[in-house]
Amino acid sequence: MQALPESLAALAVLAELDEAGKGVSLTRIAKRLGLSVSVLMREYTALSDARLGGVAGPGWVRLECDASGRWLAHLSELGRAQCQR
Amino acid sequence: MSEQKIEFYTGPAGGWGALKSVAKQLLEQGIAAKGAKTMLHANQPDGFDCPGCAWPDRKHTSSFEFCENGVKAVAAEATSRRATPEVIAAKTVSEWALESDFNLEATGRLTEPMVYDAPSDRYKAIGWDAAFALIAKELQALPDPNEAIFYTSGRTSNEAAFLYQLFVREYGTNNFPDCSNMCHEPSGSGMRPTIGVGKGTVTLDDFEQADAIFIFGQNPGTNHPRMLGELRDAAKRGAKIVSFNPLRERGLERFANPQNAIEMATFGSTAISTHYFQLKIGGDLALLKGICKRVVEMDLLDRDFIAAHTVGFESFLADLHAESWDLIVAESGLTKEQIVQAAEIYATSERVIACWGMGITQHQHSVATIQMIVNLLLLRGNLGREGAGACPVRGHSNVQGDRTMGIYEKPAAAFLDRLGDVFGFEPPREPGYDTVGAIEAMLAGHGKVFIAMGGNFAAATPDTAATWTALRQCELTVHVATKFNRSHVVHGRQALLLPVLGRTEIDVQAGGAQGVTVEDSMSMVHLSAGLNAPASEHLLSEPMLVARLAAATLPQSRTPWLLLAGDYALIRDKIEAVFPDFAGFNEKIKTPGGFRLRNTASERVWVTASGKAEFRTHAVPTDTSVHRAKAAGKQTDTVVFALATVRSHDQYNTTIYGMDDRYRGVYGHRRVVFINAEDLRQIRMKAGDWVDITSLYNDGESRIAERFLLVEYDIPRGCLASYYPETNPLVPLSSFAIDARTPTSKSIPVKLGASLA
Repeated sequence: MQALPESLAALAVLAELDEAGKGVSLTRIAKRLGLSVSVLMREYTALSDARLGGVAGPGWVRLECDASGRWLAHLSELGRAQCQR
Repeated sequence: MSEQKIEFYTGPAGGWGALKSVAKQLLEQGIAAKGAKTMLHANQPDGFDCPGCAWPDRKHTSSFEFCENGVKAVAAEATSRRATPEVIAAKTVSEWALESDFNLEATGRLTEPMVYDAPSDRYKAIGWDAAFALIAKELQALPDPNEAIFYTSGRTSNEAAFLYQLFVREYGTNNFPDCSNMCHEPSGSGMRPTIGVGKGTVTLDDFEQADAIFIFGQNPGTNHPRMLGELRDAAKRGAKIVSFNPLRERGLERFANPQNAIEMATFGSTAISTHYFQLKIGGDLALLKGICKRVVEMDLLDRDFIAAHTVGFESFLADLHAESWDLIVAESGLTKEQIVQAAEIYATSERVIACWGMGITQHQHSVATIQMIVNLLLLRGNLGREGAGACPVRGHSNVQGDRTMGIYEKPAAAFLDRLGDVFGFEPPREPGYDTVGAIEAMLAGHGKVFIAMGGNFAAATPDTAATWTALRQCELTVHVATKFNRSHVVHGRQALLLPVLGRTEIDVQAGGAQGVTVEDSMSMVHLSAGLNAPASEHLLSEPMLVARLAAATLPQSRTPWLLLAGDYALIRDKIEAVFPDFAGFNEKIKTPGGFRLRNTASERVWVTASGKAEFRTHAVPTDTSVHRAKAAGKQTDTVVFALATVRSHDQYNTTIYGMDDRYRGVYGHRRVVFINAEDLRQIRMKAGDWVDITSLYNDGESRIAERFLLVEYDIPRGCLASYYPETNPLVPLSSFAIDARTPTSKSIPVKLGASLA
């Protein structure tokens, strides 16, 4: 899937907020971007390594749910490298 | 699985019980976190449409708007379990056939196309091209396209349904049995000739303004939990909510909103029904006639409306005057005082909404009953104005939309003309098979290829033995599905399972990520797009599956199937070209919440034969199958009951999410019969005894459902209730609603006997 501007903005914010590599809650990023969490989740799924439309995603983001049920986005090494280009 | 027990439920519907059940459901599917997050986005303007029921959502819905059964529907789709070819091939199909419906679906999501291998009696993987080639070969080999049958589940999106009906009509038949044939067909059949539309006339805004809401034959706590929110709000502002249901249903009594912090923190709840009338099974027409009779006696009619907008009032009036209160009381099971009380609430309420569910639609006299509901509304002009109207509450999330898209065995000539003009072919004009007709055709050898776009036909249909024989006689059965189910083990000589994306999943085609549209019970059409990664990389979307099937089957077709399926906006352009009501379709769905299709009756424009709304006169039925069986029973000293099939709380249509029915106090059981305490004494049995149920139709066939547990319940004498689909075998194909052919699953004459199983 082509990385659209909204996806890239989501990636950039994640890179900024996930400096410690511990993940950032989707709610926090959504507020920052003015997006709903549902849209953000869809964007991050597209930036993960999930296969969509028969094509594997770039694997820049990893989605995870912590023990309290809070969804976190992590920037992968590939994603970090992408952001440093 | 739950511990087996029968225990009276004392809490309200919804509340902490609902949240506990949600958590349990998510944990059982192994997706606690994913499912919880997924639900946060169900029915959001930018989220996806819940694949559960067809109750609408407000445009600016809370991000925590969800219902217990919606969670179950989404969790079932987002499960981490996978029914791979290896998992399915681990058992023979004969072995799978011995498993419960619950266990079949618990295998998880289907991941690859599979074909039945007769020598090994197992399903095995097959490539998509080979699967489509097999179907195309069988369809092309039929001497008559009418020997193929194309079933549609109400979960199918507008885009998929539109392509599907186009493919089938280009192929050459109108054989479109669908789940509407088994549920709300009488609503359309009843309303269309009388008010000109076959759909409900109200919107959610009307619920905010209604002074009274009459609910007939519906159990929203289990089947449309989100409706409870509207009812709760109405009850809180003082609207009268009048429920008519043979069973005492918790969801019609009290509701604690899981989204209301105060109600949750204080274990509080809101009384829903201000009045609750437990009429006899099948007594609704008599009841409605009684209410109408009393309203006329009170002379609280909207005579200006009647004069300006209706025809047939005088003959209806004469019929009401002639009707006997004794018959009304006897057939409704309510006292005259109760009926008068209901009539007075109706007549003194300025704005009234009438809702109904399958408790109304699955009787021999369903169409007449619905027309009597319309009569009642017409008496006081409760159609076509704010806060008032008709509200048939549909089941599957897009069952109404599929009809709008042309999934109908009796299509209008004007629609076929338009379809033919837009796509450059001559559509077939001969009416096709409905669900009952399809089964009869397969039994008679006239239906040889059966293709199901979703659903679980073998479990949903009546007369199970006959239906299964019919399916097994087919040359080819094809099931488009997300999960393994009963219909996959009741197959034809050749059989295919074709797995598709679920609505929660991101759908990427050549034109990019796609959304699909659905139409809810109130004619709102809106966009739904997935959030999660697909369960398997081998899944096709439903529109793409139809397109590839069409391309393989109809090589001469001028329709650019694959192009359309590559960008659903192109399909919507074609929908717009065929249906004028969809003008500006792609633009309109950009608005959060979508748009409402025109509903002429809600504008007091009557598209009927007379150009007016039409009163219809109907006699109180006294010669149904139940009447006849009871009369015969008196000769042989047999106690005859009327049995209604119902859903448990852990169930949505044929999908069994769990083994509990919390609001009715049943845990770990599905084979139960709810019975009145006095009736238990009369048949000299007690709660906890096991019985066999025998239906009593005079057609020479013996239909028995074996080994059910008797559960004492607050239900009128002479009435029983038991779960669907377990009791489907009791309903003969020949017993259906007059003028709608919907199986009479809500009024089955039966007798009980000690279980011999």
